[in-house]
This record gives sequence, C-alpha cells and structure tokens, in this order.
Amino acid sequence: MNGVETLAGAVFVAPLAVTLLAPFLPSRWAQRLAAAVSALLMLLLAYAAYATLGSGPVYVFSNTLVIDPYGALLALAVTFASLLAVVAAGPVVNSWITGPAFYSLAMLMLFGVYALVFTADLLVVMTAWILVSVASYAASALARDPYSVEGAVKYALMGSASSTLLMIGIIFYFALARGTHVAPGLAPPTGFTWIAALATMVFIVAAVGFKMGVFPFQTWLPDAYGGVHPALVAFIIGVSKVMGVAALYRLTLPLAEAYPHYWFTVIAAFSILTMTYGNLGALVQNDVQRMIAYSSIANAGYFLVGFAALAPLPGMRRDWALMGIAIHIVAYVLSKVGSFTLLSMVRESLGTTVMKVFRGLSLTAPASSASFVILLLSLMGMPPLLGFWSKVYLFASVVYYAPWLALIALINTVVSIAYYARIIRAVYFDKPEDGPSEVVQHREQVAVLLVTAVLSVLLAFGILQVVVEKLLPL
Amino acid sequence: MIPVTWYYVVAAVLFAIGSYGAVVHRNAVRILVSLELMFNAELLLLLAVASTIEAVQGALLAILVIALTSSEIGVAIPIIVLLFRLTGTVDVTRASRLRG
Repeated sequence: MNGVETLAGAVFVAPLAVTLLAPFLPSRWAQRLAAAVSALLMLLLAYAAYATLGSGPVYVFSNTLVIDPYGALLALAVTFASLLAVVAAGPVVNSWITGPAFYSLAMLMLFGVYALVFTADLLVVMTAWILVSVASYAASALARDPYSVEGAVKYALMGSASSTLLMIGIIFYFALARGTHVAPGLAPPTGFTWIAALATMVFIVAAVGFKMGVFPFQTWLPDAYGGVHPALVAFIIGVSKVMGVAALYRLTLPLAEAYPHYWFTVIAAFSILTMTYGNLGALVQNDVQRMIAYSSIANAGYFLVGFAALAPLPGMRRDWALMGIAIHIVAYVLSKVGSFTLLSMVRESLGTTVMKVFRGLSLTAPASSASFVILLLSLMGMPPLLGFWSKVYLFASVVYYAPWLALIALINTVVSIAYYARIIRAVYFDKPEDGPSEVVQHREQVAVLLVTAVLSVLLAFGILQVVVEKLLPL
Repeated sequence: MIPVTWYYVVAAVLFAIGSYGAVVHRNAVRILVSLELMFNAELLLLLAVASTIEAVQGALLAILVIALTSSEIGVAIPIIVLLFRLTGTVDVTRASRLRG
C-alpha cells in the first residue's frame, strides 16, 4: 500500500506548501495559487477515492490515518467549496491589506480538515481540530471592521470552549478504548462503563455541536456568521460543517456500534432541539445574513437525523443515512457558498444585508438573483433539487425505527419554507420603495453563483446518488 | 499514596469553577482565563485516567494538549486586542446590542 501512502502524502503537502508560500506573494498571485492547488487536490482526491474503491479502508502513516472512498468524498466536497470560496472572495479580499493571509489560512484550514476527515487516531483528531479552529479564528477577523472582529472574538471564545469539550470527550474515549486508536470494538456497557460511554457521546456531540451549531451550543453562531464579513463566512461555514461531520463520522461509528440505544437517544434529542430552534429563530429575523445563519443551525439538526440512524438497530437504514449525509454535505456547501457570495456582493455595495435592500434585486442582478433563489430552494428541499434528495435519504433512514423523528424533521422542513419564501418574495415580487438597489457584481462572484446553482440542479438528476452509493463504507 | 479518585474530584471542582466563570462573565479576557482553568482541570483528569491505563499515549496526549491550547490563546488574544482597538471595549455583548 505504498502507493496510497505517497498519494496521501501529496494530498497533505500541497495545501501546506501554499500556506507557507502565500504570505510572500501579492494577493492576486496568492489567490491564483490557492485556486490552482485546490483544483489539483480535487483530482488527487478523486483518484484516491478511485484507488481505494473495493479494497476496503487503507491505513497509512503507522495507522494514524485511514484512507477510504467515503472520506475522500467528504474531502472532495470541502475542497470544491474552498475553490469556489477562494475564487468568489477575490474581488473583496484582494483589496484588503490582509488579502494574502486569507489564502494562506484557507489552505491551512483545508490541511486540518483533511487530517480530520482521514483520522484514525485521537492524537490526530485533537491536533487537526485545534489547527482548523485556530486558523478559522484568525480568518474570521481578517476584515478588521468592528462587526467582523466582534464576531471573530465570539467565534474564538466559543471555539475554545468547543475544544475544551472535545478534550473531555477524547479523555473518556481514551479510557473506553484503552488507547488512542479509533476502531470498532469498544468495551460493552457493563458496570460503570455506561457512564463513560454516555459522557463520551455527550461531550463529543457538544464539541462538534459548537462548530456545527447544535442546540444548546448555537448561541454564538448567528452573531458570528451574521456579523463576520460574508466573503469570509462563505469559506468558514463550509469548512466548519464538513469538519463537524467528519469528526462525528470518524469518532462515532465505533460508539454507535457499541452502544446503539444510548447513541440513538442522545443524537435524536439533540437533533429535534436543534432543527426546531434553528427554524423558529430564522422565522423572526429581519436580516437575510442572520436568517441564513439560523438556517445553518436547522441544517445541523437535519445532519443529526442521519447520524442518529447510524446506530445498528432493527429497521435502521444505515446505508441511506450515510448517503443522505454525503449528499446533504454537497447540497449544503454549494448553497451556503453561493448564497454568502451574493450576500458579500450586497454588503460590499450597500453596507447592509437587511431584508429591505433585497427588494427588487432581480431587476438589477437577474442572473445572480435567479441562482440565489435556486440555492435557497435547494436548501429548503424543493424537488427535484439536490437538497430534496439529501433530505429524502436522511429522513427515510430513520423512518422504520422511529417514524416520529422523520415526522418532526418533515414538519420542520415545512416551517422553513416560510422564511425562505420571504427572501424569495423580496427578491422577485416586492417593489422597491426608492428604486431598485444598485449592486456591484464582479465577474468571479456571478460565475461562482451560477456554478453552484447549476450544480445544485444537475447533480440532483441521479449523478451524485450513483457516485455516493458506490463509495459507501458499509 | 493518594487514591486516583481524589484527582478526579479535584479535576471536577476545577472544571466547575472554570465553567462558572466562562458562563457568567462578559469580558472576553476573563472568559479566556476561565477556559484555561477548564483545560487545566482536563489535563489533570487525563493524567489521572492515563495512570490507570497501561498506555503511553496518555502522556503524549497531555503534552500535545499543553502545546495546542497555548497556540489557541496565542491567536485569541490578538483578536481581542484588535476588538479593543476598534471599539474600546472587550465586552463581547456590546456591539451586537448596539446594532439592536
């Protein structure tokens, strides 16, 4: 398996090289370098997925990393998101004095997320987690305006709290596994082991919950994602979601297999609270950026439905759950990167993202508005878009074991239509009070919006489903 | 020799003090100090747990965590300083209240 090890080495060294080079280059060149390396990494990861297909997971670097097709797919999704965000951020970020640092930090985060996606050892989990977190705190403060920096401070404090919780989770995990290797075969819940098992689950979900916005650890998220400059959020939001999903996927498969009943109960409870809170919170917002920040809390809840279904209980469709998680990651990342790119245009041109300025946006920016609406519909779960298929798989995975959980998720989806419809109505049907808002659109930003929207439509027609089905680890 | 349970108790008490501080304060620096206290409580817990397990990784993890938390503080403090320069305060709830 020397070939796979070399491949893994290349995948890890490439972003690190850009990280070290970018600060010494002018912004434009740093951007080109980061974009080119992201594109190259996508090819490498696609090859990694192909090379490990059918051979089962391959352990490399003294069993600390595991390369499998499902992990390669998650890594591919986050790399694509970073490519789009790096391209879209250019017109905004390149004018800042901190411009080159953005590309450097973006690639550093990518490096950390790869380590987390392919991890098989608790030491790697902890290191990669802190690496991504620290880079994202610095990245969120790059705009240097009061709102961004306040958001960044909150993000940094809550991120430290989340690292604290992850640390406890890892200590209990370490005690359960009697070592740092992450693999199936944890001690069955006898004696006091069940306390350690419950504590491991609760603390790991809490830590990941801080990053993904799981209730009750979501309080920082609307302030950070609603305050930090949208060009930066477009990147951070995708990375931190994939990071959370990757950490849960790697750490919890052994936990879910060893303690299925605890696992289902804990995750289902978190899931219901999270999606309900996110959707109800979004309903009362008057600022589109904050509304979309709340919708990412709701989406964290939908992800957890899939994770709850990973417990091997009678009637659970674990294959559907993994498919749903993978497709939802792609749908979510496309929608968020695209919509935050539009928000970034609006905030740069008009200085605010309140609902009012979106009235009549379709008159001045027809292509961008159309893409934005498609992305929102995909997030909402409108058939035939990508977001619809991911929700079908996520909700169907629990329907035989716990129909009530699928029903609650469905009701939540219906509630979410209300606020997405408000944005769509403002963009297309409301008459602006004092003439339509003039929005400066850069070529790159419009291109990214169009690409995300087109992919949300195209991938939905069976392409992604077929690919993901082939990559499933089960 | 002190039984290992006592270490758990001390760690739990330290952690509780730290979480209390992190929840009640609005001053970013105070929250950060409270979080550090929580980290140190965990370090104690980790070493106590590791002493009951025949695995060298426990000590490795502890050394790693000491290095990692200092890097986290190293980035958080400059951001807080930046906030102070821009707004003249390190109260993390002030700016969002101004916005309404």
